[in-house]
Amino acid sequence: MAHIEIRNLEKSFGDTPVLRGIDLTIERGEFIAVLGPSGCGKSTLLRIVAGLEAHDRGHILMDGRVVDGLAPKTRDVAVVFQSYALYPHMTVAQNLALPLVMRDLTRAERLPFVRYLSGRVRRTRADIRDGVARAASLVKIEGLLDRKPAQLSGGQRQRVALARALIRKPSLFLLDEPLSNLDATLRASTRAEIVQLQRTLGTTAIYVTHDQTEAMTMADRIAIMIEGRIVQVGTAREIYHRPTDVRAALFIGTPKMNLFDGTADNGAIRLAATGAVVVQATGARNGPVQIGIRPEHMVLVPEDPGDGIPVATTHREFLGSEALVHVAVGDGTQGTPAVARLDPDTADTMTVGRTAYARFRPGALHLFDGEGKCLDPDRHRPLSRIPSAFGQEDGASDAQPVPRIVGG
Amino acid sequence: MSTDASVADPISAAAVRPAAPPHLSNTAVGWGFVLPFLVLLAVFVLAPTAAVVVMSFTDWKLGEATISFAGFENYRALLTERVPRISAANTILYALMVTPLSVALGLWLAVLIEGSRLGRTVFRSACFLPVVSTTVAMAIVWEFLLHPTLGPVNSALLLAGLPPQRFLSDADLVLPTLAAIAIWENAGYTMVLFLAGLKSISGELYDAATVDGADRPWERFWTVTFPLLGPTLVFVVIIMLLRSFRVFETVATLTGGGPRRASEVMLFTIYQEGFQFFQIGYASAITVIFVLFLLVLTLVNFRLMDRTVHYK
Repeated sequence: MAHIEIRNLEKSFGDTPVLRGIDLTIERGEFIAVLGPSGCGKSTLLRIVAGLEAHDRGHILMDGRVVDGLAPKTRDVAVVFQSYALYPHMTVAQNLALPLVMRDLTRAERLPFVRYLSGRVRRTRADIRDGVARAASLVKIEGLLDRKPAQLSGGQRQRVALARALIRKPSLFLLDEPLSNLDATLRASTRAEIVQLQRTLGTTAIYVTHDQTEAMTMADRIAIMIEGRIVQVGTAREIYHRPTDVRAALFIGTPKMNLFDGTADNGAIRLAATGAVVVQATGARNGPVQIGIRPEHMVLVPEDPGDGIPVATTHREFLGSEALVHVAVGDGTQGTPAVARLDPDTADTMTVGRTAYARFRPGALHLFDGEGKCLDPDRHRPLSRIPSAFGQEDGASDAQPVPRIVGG
Repeated sequence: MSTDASVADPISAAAVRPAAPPHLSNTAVGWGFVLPFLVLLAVFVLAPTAAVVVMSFTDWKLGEATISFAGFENYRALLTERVPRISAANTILYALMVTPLSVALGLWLAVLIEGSRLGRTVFRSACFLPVVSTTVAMAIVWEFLLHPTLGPVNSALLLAGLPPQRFLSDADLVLPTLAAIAIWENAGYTMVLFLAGLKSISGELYDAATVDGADRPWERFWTVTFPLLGPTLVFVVIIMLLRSFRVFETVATLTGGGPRRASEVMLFTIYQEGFQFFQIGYASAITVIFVLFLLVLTLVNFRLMDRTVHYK
């Protein structure tokens, strides 16, 4: 397992900048997900860490040693590719053996007849066979060793690719969207298996994906990457509850965080659509702001409680354990669209086409400035103190009904 | 009601009418499409082949009015006479020189061009030029290049302190010289086929090989490139074998089968027997045997190579 440090990494393809100064530290044995939309540069970052691509500026350190310009095999990394990249002409056993053959045998010793001349080569070949058997049993593909990749299902190929990556016991795993070619059920079970495997081996892992579910369920920490920059690094909970950037806030969570235009006016945050003051934030500079709230933190009631914001109910979706109510805020049905996640019984009291009333819990609001940076000066406060609309989040008992934005 | 509607509304009635007249079944329409091809195949391939087979059992001479059945006489002559045997041996020797070297050179050029960053199009076109130019015209250029006294090749040999050679009139040199010309011509062809094959190899496989430690050019070639070119290789080898067995133009224009039959090859023998000595029956017998040989060779080749090659 390795400690990885990426310092101010930059990369351009021609005139197109792909990575614009990446800083990221990955602890020994950590499983980190690099999450971002396609084209954000996450695969390029992975290829640069692997040594398959050269970077323009910055450094990569493994265990304190600069590895810039080193060949992939000397970096001691293993990659699981999106397409699995199994050698189609080799059996599964040969596919798994290749990394060991290339590492443990010299060029002359690899020649086919040499094993009959040298006892050392025979012993090494026997060790490689044992290694193949061990790796195969780790991912439960012992019965497939004599098959060719074309005779395997997608899930089996994926396991072979995993086994080939772990066979050398590398100090760093790099996984490039390894689940994207699997069907939904298989993806869910393989997610858990990969995490277990990584825990058992204790190998540091970088997992690149555009799927927030994968990132949130698998990784110790997530690095959100957008347009060649890492906008936030943290655990799934941290990013979900405390997004530091509006793009990170929008990327994590389904349905997306609701976002409204607003203004800060001497500490009063007003909703642009209705003019209602939703929260007092004395720290906010006067000017335009964006007000974000997660669907589950938006409370809807059919009758005006007095301080409610009138919204037009446009659509209702029943999902079993919960229901989503789509509304438009301000300007009738043409207002800013928003979604509230309610329990089905509450949702049933809302009628499509009628006006409902929304309340934003001040403690659950996210405020972003014109550049999309979080306005909350207090964002490093422990998570346990985040109040929740339904009182179901952990630590809700000691949650205090204070507005998140306080002076300073 | 429905009949009324279709009568009253001729447009919709026309729209629902089937494309083919109802008395023509699907089978008939199918045959209709295939027929032109079948006629052409029969007229230009099957009938001439049958005619050659029939003529191989006769003693017909070109221009003669009489024709009589000769049984296996032509085939007996074929087995006992000297010229067909020399011709067959030369053709096989020639094919064994041309095929492996054209394939190897084409593969080398393709990998080299695919790997180079600069001038890909230029090199590709340059290597393909011999393929698109007329062999007979090129043969004349080669004749000049290899001329015993005026040719630049011999001048180069002299400059290098080596004795000049009579490339096309030395019995030991003539077949290798013709083979070299063919390799020069074929390499561009095999190169283009291999380039197409190389394009279909996924870049992730090379990345995987690099990470797995196979990162030297030679290791990459043996781990990824060569095995994945397998299907292309089978195709190219068979095409090259057939092409080299059909060698004719260079022999006809440069050597006429000489010196002392050292460059006598099958097609040239057939041509001479049939159209210069007018022995159509005999030439037909050689043709039949030659075609059967090529057919068997191709099938055997396909079987052998197919077993060792991986298809996706």
